[in-house]
Amino acid sequence: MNCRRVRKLIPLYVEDDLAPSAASRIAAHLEWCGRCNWLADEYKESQSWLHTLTPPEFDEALLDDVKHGVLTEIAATRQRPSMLALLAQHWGRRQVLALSAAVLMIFALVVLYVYQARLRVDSALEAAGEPPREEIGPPIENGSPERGSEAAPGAGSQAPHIGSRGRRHLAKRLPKRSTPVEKEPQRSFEVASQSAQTITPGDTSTGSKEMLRIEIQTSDPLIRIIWFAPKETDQHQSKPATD
Amino acid sequence: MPGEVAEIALMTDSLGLGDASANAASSLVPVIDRAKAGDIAAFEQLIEHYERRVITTAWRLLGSSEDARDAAQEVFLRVYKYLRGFRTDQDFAGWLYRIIANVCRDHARARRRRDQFASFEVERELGNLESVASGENVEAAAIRAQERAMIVRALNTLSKKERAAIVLRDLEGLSSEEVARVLGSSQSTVRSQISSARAKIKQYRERVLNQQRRG
Repeated sequence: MNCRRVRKLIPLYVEDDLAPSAASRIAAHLEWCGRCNWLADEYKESQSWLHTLTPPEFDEALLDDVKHGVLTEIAATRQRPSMLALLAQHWGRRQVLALSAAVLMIFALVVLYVYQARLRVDSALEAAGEPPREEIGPPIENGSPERGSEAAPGAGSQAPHIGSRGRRHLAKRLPKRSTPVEKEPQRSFEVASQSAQTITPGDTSTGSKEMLRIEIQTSDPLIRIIWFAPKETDQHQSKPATD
Repeated sequence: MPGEVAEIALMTDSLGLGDASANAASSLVPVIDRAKAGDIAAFEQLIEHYERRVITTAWRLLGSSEDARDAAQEVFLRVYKYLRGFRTDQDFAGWLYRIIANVCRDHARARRRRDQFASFEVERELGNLESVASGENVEAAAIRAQERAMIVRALNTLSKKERAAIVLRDLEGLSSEEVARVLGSSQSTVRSQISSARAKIKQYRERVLNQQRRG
């Protein structure tokens, strides 16, 4: 063992903190190396000096003060036990763990249920021919005049960058028009208003006679059903058309 | 009841706080069990048995009597709080040491300006000791107090971890394995901290001695 290695280990050697084999090798080195031996003596002196540190005498009054402080605090705590302390008093650790696990499981089930419900709504929308809720962003953005005016300058360029989460967020923020569609898609085809209007024969290509134009506005403002029917012969087949 | 406390003290006084002696553990087991069950009188016995050692260790770790008193109070409050989770087959003294080390670390962390006031604290400790020593040889007491203040200053030069390691190993007499367990570190880390702390203390002492020789 060389001097450099020994000097590193001397601080531990002087208080027997080394393994016996290492300690014996250092002891052998110290027998012939005067400088390392001198260093070891210095460390021993320093350690002896450190051991002379005696704490100040803590009188009984101070100790009583500590004890009474602790007991007073405990008495105060016992008078107003916390919820957790109450749980811990009546239930063991395993029971508390089981309760925590049960609460976590219930929470997970609720989250799963909500997630599946949302999936069901989306699939119902798709089945009804509506785009999923995430895709109804652009009409909603246009539906609110003040928001439309706010977003007008860069709306076209920004729109493609809005992800599905962003659209969902927008849909949540602007629920007025989308809510009925989202909740009950089949109602979107219900008749919201109906009007009849007589038009001249030149307006249509269905015949030379005067035609009756029938408009049915669904609850969805984007869908309107228009019929053209001959005015005098109601039995004739009418031709539906949509905007 | 005081007699019982004295008996326990006699049985365990000869042992170090960190000594996991079977006798000490078995003599305290009934008291700990009663304290665990919520018996305040038993808990009071535990306090009486350990408070001097707790406050002394806290003083060595923090270097101030006032902080040591606060820390000791906090230590016993934590003991009361977590005693229910303590298993009687564990070493109570080791468990207590862990709490002391944690509380003192928290105290030191909370009092970031400690280093600025460390010298002030040492001087104040020195003043207290000088005033206490009125009955004995004042000169000898002053020299002893100066030595003590110098060692405390030397300890103040260490990092918190080094100080905790060397206090527990060299002043409390725990083995390096026990120190590692108390501090939640590996043995090699603790040995490295102890080695570094001893080197720093030696350097500090040499510097002070050189200054004294020149002065």
